[in-house]
Amino acid sequence: MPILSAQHLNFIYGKGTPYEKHAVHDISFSVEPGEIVGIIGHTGSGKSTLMQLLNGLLKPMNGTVTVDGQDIWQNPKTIRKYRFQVGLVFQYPEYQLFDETVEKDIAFGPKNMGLTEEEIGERVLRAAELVDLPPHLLPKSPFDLSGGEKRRAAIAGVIAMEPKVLILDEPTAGLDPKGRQTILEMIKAYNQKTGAAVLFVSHNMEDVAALAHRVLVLSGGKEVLFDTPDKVFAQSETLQNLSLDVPVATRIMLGLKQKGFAVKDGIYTLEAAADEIARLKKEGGANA
Amino acid sequence: MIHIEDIYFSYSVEEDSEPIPLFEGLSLTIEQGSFTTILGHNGSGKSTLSRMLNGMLLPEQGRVLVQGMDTADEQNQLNIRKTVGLVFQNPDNQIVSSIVEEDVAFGPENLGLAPDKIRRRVDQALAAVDMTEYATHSTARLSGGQKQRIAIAGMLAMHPKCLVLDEPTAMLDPKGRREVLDTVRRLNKEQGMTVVLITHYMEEAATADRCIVMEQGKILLDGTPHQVFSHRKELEQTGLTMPAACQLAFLLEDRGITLPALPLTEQECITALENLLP
Repeated sequence: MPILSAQHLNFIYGKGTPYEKHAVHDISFSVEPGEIVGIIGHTGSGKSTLMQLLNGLLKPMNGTVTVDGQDIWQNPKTIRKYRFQVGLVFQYPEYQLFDETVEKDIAFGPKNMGLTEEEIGERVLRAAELVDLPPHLLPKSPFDLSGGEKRRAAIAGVIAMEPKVLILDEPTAGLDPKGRQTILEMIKAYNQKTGAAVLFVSHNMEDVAALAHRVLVLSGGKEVLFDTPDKVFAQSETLQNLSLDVPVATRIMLGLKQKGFAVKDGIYTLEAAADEIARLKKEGGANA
Repeated sequence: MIHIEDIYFSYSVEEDSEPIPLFEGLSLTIEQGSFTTILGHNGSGKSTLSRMLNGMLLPEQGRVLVQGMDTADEQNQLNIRKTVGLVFQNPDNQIVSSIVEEDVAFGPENLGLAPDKIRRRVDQALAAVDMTEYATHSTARLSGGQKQRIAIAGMLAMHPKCLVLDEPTAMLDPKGRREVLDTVRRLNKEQGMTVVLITHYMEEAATADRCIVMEQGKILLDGTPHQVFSHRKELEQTGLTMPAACQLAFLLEDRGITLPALPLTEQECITALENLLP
């Protein structure tokens, strides 16, 4: 059974006003436990609205969201429960750090869940470890951390609620290459260690290629593609028409194909591209 | 254009703490009309350096000369700010007016120019960043890339000789990033504008005339993009990633395939492979 499922979701901003905008248009997809899904689409494609629908911050005009088979809006009084089960990390989450110490900041979510002090303490430590924040940073003020550390502390605050599904909106935006690498590795490790499903929005196709098991492509509030990365990136024309990129490895392989080389389809990482070129060189697969 | 001569600078993390030295005898010359990118990690001193280039920060020792004018001399301040325009990372922090053309007019108004001159400069600046049709639009409804182009137009209206951009594309989506970069490249090529671009994106650095890599307040590498990106080991040690085309070339090297020259762009990579493969 899918851990998270959306069926025919619709959402309209400012309905009945001149600014009416159909932000999410009949979107259906589901995510299996332990899966990593990358969501791509350019600004205004409905990514952020969709994320907020998935954890019950917004209520769909029609359609349903189910978590573990349960319709989250069946009883609106219990919606809070699902906000803990589907953890949402916004863009630039470090702007939301507020408490005196990193430890207290991470503990904020679990505290609201009504857990015991002991359980809260354990969760804070576990979350800090999962995001690779060393214990000596916990008593510090979050504002004394570096940019990358702040971001990881903010993510730890959501992870500490131990959600079944973790959703991140552009988790690497604005970080330097080292900071980006650390966040990507952290997401992967978190997914493997906890088995939680992860959805992440990204403008960076290399990040999507490196992490995602499946890719959801949105445009104008509609679902365009939902498939494995090799199949999605094979549709480079569709993506480029939506002013989205494909990974560099895919573009280089496409370039070679156009020059008449018999390259395999569905290559989207540099490693795979290097292997394929080595194969061509050895076997002389040109124009074969 | 700009001479940095043996500068020293340190900063304090907290008010009373011991200052930490950043620049210890840094020297650098930026040539007129060149396109220079500066790469490096957060904390490597890139942003501090950019603020030295127009006197927003002053060195503790040594001096910075902008077309011969010392940035430490207060009398030069207005002229230096007119000569070197700075554009920052966050588009929302740089917009001062609610209407696009009023925002671009802010600088020239403060120069005390006549209204018809201001009008001409604003029109020219908006045309240069391809935003003429948005002149009377509200700044609040622009996209991030459009806002950055307005910020650049605001600088252009001051008729600078040099633009310094500190990660101008970090908060933009790929489309916005392309818009801003195309604008900056065009200004450099067509109007001979000197450009200093600070960035984390290696692909942006690959097309510059010159590329400088900073590490802990020092210049680690300095040369053409080809020269700089050939230093695989040094770059890997600093943890900076290389343009994807270079990475692929290095992965091929590991598999015993050497390309005649290091490709920096996809196109160079495809051409090199086309010649290499049977």
